[in-house]
Amino acid sequence: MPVVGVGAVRLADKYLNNVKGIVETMQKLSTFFAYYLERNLLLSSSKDI
Amino acid sequence: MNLKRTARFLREYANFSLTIPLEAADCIHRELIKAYNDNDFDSVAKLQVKLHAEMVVSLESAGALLYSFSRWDQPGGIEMTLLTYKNVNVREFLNNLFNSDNVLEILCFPKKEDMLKHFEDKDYVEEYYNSKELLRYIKHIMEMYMNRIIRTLYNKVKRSGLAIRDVSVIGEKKPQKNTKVYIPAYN
Repeated sequence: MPVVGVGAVRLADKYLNNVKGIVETMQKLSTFFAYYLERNLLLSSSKDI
Repeated sequence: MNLKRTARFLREYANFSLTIPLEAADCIHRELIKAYNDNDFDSVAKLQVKLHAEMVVSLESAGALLYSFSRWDQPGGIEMTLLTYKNVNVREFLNNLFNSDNVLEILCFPKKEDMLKHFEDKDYVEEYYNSKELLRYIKHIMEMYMNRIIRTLYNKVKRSGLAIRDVSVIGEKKPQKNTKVYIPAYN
């Protein structure tokens, strides 16, 4: 059986907080992009990238 | 290209689709705490691996979203990019982004003058709306995904169920299935 201490719970808290942070960032980015897309203010993409 | 449809998709993606990984991670976390309180440490270890995998999936989705922004006006646009991207696309894109000094242009973000017209905090835009600051922000979030160890652990979760072990520690060359679960850690 693997050895599991309270550190495992702290690590799990950290993973959950990371997911929350990533999701919140994606939500902000999506909304930001949608706002400027609706106003046709985005730069054109370069096909070289 | 239907800009309104894509904008609507992005808003729904933010308000609905993105809550799914959060719900999943929250459920796994709750079960993990319950297993810990019940002294069921095998389950704790397995759930921890699942939670770690959920985190890596979220990171990959964030990378894919950035990748899709860079292709918003190309055939298929954001929606098709998110539906058809491969892991390697995200990795290559982020590698290019990390080595670039024109991140705003690559991500097709608006020009600074347009931001100044629409964003309330003009001082904030003046000071922080530039490629250098945006790259620092993206790196802060995405560097974990670019860490080879983190990705390797995730791939092992996908390919060999929950049998994860650090082969370098135990002196083996290949991971074996159905062995003990080792908890991945990242600081």
